[in-house]
Formats: sequence, structure tokens, C-alpha cells
Amino acid sequence: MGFLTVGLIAIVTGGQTPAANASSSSKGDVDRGAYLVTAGGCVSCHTDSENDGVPFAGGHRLATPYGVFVTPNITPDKETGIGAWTDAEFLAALREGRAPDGSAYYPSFPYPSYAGMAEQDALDIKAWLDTLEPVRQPNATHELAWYVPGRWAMQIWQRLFSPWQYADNPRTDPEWQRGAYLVRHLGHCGECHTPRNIFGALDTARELAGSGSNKKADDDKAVDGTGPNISSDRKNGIGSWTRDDLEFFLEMGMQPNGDFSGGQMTTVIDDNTALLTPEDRRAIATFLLNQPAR
Amino acid sequence: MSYIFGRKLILSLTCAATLFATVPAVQADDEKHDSDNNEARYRHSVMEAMGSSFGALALIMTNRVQRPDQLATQAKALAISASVTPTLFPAGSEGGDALPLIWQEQEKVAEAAQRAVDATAALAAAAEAGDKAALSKAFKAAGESCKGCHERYKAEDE
Repeated sequence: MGFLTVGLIAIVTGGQTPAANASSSSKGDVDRGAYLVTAGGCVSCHTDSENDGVPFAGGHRLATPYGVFVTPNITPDKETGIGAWTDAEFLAALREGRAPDGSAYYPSFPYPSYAGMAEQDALDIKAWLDTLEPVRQPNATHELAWYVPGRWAMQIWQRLFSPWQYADNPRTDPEWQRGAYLVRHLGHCGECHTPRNIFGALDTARELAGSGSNKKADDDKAVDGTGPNISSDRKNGIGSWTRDDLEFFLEMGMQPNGDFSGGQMTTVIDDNTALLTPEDRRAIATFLLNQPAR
Repeated sequence: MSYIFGRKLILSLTCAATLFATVPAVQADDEKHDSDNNEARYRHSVMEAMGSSFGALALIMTNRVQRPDQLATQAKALAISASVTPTLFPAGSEGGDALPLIWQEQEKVAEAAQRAVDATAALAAAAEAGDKAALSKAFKAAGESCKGCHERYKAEDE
């Protein structure tokens, strides 16, 4: 399906052209970073698209069962963004959920998934983010449910649950491994498609078994961070899909029955999977269709 | 059965329904097959026809069937089915997969339906012209026009 991607790859960088002459202290590769930012889906959450916000300046409201998390500004503004961060601080935030002041982030930021990201990939992401135009936009505070403890408790939570652990035996072929990397870590698919336990940690024994409908039938419904079963169960999951079906879905959004169902996956496809290389979509499909039925 | 007992029964049934949140969903599913609502059945049939055309197009576009000469035919079939979309939600036809919100936001629905008409017409034109890059873009745009509506107005797939 090579021809279907013609023109799409260009959008990876076309949407947010890095500012010229930007300085960077990072050891990362900007071009690789652009692609990894896409595969990480960063823009979907860190952009207030409902109010035409500047990409990566934050302000997107994630309405979850735990309350509303408002995503932060990750443009390189030194005061309101992450422009003052060192490489080490960026790595700690992305992979360990630790802010530069030492405090712990809520796992609405999917660091338990990103923990498995290669260090060089993370640095490449930073290098690309550093080339963005700094946007001065202070972060808004989260509006959480009464039963969600303060951020102090997240240090304990992190010790108990982060990073996510997977008990299965990894396959050795590169395509499966690349798929696992994209699905479990960079693309953090499980953050929506894997059910959570009572503490909000992913139940990885039921990886990709679905966490409920994310249909926005009612605008006030808290549904962000949920998604359907995408394990290879033939009835509840996508076990009846072929690899071609799945690759086409990740590129075009069409299900094998010809339906385009919408929901948050629309954004994931537009911002992330449609812009990946055909090889990466194939790797994702290989990994997903070889997951056990759940 | 005493009045009190009846109220208790209703109360416990309500509790049971709350506990097993899947029960209402199953019931809603049954209601979809209301054979008296022929407008809803017609709507469903037309939507299925569009889905089938999309499915056929996808098979050709990904070379899973070698029928490049039928690409334009399938795209035309899709555009013809889609051309009646604006007429598919008449008053009184509430039901099926269509959420009640449709009849509260008729103006927005009309606009969205027209987008589906235009996007599928553009797809048919691209297929006729045989430009692969344009076809790919038009296919995606046509899909977006479906998604845009389904996201807000269509009940969850079972």
C-alpha cells in the first residue's frame, strides 16, 4: 500500500516546521526526533486543539474517570514550557515521571509506558522540541476527583507500579520487537486499550483487553483514556482482522466492514499512525495480531 | 402481590440494572432490530451499502484483489449511495444506531451529510482520473466525513 502514504510522510514535519536558528543543548538528532514525536503521539495531548491552541503549548483537557487533567506546555519557553530543562531532566520526566523539582507526575502523563523508550530516542525527541517556537502559556491546574490523592502520593504510586511490567516472552524477530516498542512504549496504546486496576495502574495481564467505550455520545461524559479491546480475541477484539486490514485501518481509519467509527482513535490515526512508515504500521500489526486473545 | 412488594421488586430490579451496567446496552441492541421502523431500516441499508463500497475500494487500493479497472465503478457506487445521505434522517424515524441528538441538531447534521455527499463525489472523480496520490487523499477525506458524523451521532458498535 505504498502509494497510499504518498504525501502523508511530509506532514510529519510540514505541520510544525521547526524554527530556524534555534539553539539546542541536546545531543539529539532533530530529524529522527520529528518522526519519534509523531510515533509518540505527543501533539495529540499537548495541544488544545478544541480551542485552536498552538501545537505543543498544552492546555488540552483530558476528561478521565479521575477528573480533568490539563496537559502542560512542552514548547521551549524557559518559564512556562520546558526550555530550561537539561537533557537529564527531560529523561527523568519522560521515563520516570519526575519533574525537575523532584516531584512526581500523575500517570496521566504516560511515563510508565515511555519508561521503555531508548535514551537516544528520548534525546532526539527533546532535540526536535527544542527547535519549536517558544510559546508563553502558563500551565493550568488539574481538576481532579475528590478520591484522587495529591501529587505527593505519586512517589509511592511510582514505586509500586511504574514502569509497566510485561510478563510474556518477547519474540526475537525485529518486526515483532519494533511493533512491541511502538505499541507498548512510544505509542503507549495500552494507556487507553488496557484495563486499569483500582489504583489506576495498567493490568498488564489483560494487556489490550479494552477499558470501555470512549464514545463521546454525551459531551460531559468522562471517557478520555478508555478504549476498546484490541487483543486478538475474535469476538471482542480484532482477531478476525487480517494484517492488511489492520495496516489499512492504521493508515485510513477504515474498519474491515467498511465503517469509519470515529472517537479518539481518529486523532491517533491522524496525528500518529497514518504518518508512520508502512514498515512501522506493519510492525504494529504484527505485534498486535500476535497478542493472545483476551 | 402486594403494593409494597411491587415497589421492592422495582427497587431491586433497579439496583440489579445499576450493578450490571451491561444490561441496558444489551437491551438497546435488541431495540435496533425494530422491524416496524422502515425508515431506520432503510437508513441502515444505505449505510451498509456505503460500508460495502468502502470495503471493496480498500481491497482494490491495497492490491489484495487485482481489479484496478473496477476502482472507478466502486467509487461511483459509493458516491451514488452517499448522495441520499441528507434525506436519511426524517422526523419520526428515530431509532436504530442513530442517536436522538441527530434530531436536536438538524442543521449540523444536514451540513455533515452534505460533506459526505461532496467528499464521496470527489473520491469518485479521483478514481475516474486514476491519480493514485489524489485517490488516497480523497479516500481519507471521504472517511473523515463518515467519522465526523459517527463520532457524535452514531451509537457504539456492539
